Amino acid sequence: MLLASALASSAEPSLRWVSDPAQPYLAWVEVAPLENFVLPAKASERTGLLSVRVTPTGNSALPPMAGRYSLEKNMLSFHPQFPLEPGLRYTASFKSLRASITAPPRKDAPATKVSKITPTAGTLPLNLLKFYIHFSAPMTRGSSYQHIQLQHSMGERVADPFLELPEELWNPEMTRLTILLDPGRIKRGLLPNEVVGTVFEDGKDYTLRIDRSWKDASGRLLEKSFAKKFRAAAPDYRQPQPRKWQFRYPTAGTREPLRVTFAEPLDAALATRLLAVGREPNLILEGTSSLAAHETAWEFRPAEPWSEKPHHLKIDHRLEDLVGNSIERPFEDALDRHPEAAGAPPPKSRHPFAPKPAAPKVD
Amino acid sequence: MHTAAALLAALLAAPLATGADLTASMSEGKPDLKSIGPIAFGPEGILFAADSKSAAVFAIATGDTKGVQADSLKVENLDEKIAALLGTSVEQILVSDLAVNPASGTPYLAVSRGRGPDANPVLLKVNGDGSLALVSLDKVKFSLAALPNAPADKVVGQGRRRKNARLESITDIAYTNGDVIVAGLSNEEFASSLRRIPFPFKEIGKGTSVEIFHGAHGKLETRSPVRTFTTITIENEPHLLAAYTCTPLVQFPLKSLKSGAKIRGTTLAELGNRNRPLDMIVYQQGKQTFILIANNARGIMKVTTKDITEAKGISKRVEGGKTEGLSYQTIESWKGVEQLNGYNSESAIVVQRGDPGGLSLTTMPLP
Repeated sequence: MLLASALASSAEPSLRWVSDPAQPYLAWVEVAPLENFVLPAKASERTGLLSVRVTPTGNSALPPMAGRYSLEKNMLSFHPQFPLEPGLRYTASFKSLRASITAPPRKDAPATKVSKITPTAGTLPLNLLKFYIHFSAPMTRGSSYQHIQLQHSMGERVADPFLELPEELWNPEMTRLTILLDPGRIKRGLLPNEVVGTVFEDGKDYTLRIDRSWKDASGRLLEKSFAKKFRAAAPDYRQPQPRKWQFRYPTAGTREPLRVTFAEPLDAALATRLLAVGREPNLILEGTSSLAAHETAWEFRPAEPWSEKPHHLKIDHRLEDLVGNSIERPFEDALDRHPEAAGAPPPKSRHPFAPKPAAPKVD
Repeated sequence: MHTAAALLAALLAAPLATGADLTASMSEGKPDLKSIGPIAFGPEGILFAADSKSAAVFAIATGDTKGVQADSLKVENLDEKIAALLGTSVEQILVSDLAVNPASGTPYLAVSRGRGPDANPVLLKVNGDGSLALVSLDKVKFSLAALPNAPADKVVGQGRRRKNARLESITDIAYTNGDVIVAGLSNEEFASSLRRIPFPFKEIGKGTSVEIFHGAHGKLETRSPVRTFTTITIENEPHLLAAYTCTPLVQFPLKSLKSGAKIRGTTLAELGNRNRPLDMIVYQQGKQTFILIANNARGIMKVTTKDITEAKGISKRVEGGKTEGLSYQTIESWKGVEQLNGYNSESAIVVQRGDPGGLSLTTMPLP
């Protein structure tokens, strides 16, 4: 037990902070000894008697910290509702007694950086729908758009390019943020598209800049700012077409990758999630997949060597390209389209293949 | 969400189901909220809290079923007060929603303590004297509806499973006449998801999911996510009034939310350029119904619904880049409104960001 502060004489009560060194942020307050003490039932009377405040607040009108009071024998305890915040100072008050504690600062760790922005290509369609910003460690939400800027080639800021969602679209670990370009400016026939126009113009150069003032989950600034430069090109209104994909099949008995080359770059997150290799009847192979050649190719390396049995690439039709066209439907669809009526067969959701037989050994 | 209409709906629903019925299938304990986003109240003090991280909606019986509402409320330095109560610094506080419990008239705030992946979800209520109180969720009656979130594929063997990076953010939630309506937006595919989940929740209430489309002028439509929505009664028929992420304001009848349905909202207005709707409410003034919309770039928009029954949808553009549709006026004096909710028949309640950047909570007479 660690005593942060004490004020004692045998008869007078003392006030102290107590914490377990293994869990320094779960500290609590004790007052003892108390003779003939009765814990008030009303919350306001309890906080008037014993309270904990973040110091200095500079504002006495602020409420004390929420927590649990308990009285056991001659000791009154207060357990804060939440762990102490690293680096903050807290002061407990009981009558004229004061005791303070400073929560230990966070441990040093390597600074977080932007590890990647997808799509990774240097030329992107002007109706691009989203960017994924990847970080090396968990980040913070709430002010993300203040740290992301889209600039023209001369450094001038592009006005209102993003759909700024207060929720912020993070992955559960908060190491990847999805940034949507304003769909109202992409979608033809809407006011923002017609009056303000698309965010990007064909043939022009842009920089997506991430400022290092963005704090990570430990409260540290990023290691450095990050810039992704690219050129906007003609819009893409075509859906991904799996029948145009090219395959490089592996050899049985090896762990060579299966390589699938798309006719265009696809959405990195969706290609990672929605493509898989299966084996009859209903097995999904374990292994590692990765994207290559600026998201225009996908490789799958199985955990175990390939067998000669029939396999298939499983293709989920929600898979999108860079502009939100999925295999099942374009981003902007014709009103009341009926694909069957148009005569086109629906694309296959499985591409069958068998690994090449292992070559006979020649002595 | 948040409306005079929801309040009315809650009152209408009350005779159909008593509090005992609504909480009968709930269990008692501590709801394991991993995050807290939009919140809404049903009848009998039941709070619906959206937890995007758990891909679930929790129904929590707050027990706050009666009370006398203060005529007005003003809480200055709201974020500083919340930070003090939660024992942290202002920069660690995020207020994600505001809802008023129609049973007691008490405003509630959904708050995150922390901004990283380990943030604590917190529910606060605002007392009549303007003081804040933490709502203890240690021992409450609750139930939950799990929302389907595309799981990682199963793999053969004992190897490690791929982590699922997909997360659906719940952008808004409402309770109306025995149903919880939930709008979501994925961090991967660009798609709409609007679910209708009957309450009390069944064993695992996934509800009905529909695809929402938005048809622009001409011949093209997009599967558009809903940014914020509310309910409104048009010709005795409950409707959903929704603002899409691509900015149009649309309506569609609630009864069209049937399993597997493909719905195209009727466009009522285009909310304009460089402007995003954040929150909206529906209210009555005399015999007229109005919609109040908080936006990121403009003051509050007051939209008249006089022509809503005739609104067959905007089909053509008028001169000067403006659109046909419902008329509205912009009220510039309501600045920096981030959260908007009906308070009573005369007032709304808002969370506002002031010029130096701090938050306040204030009741405002309905315009």
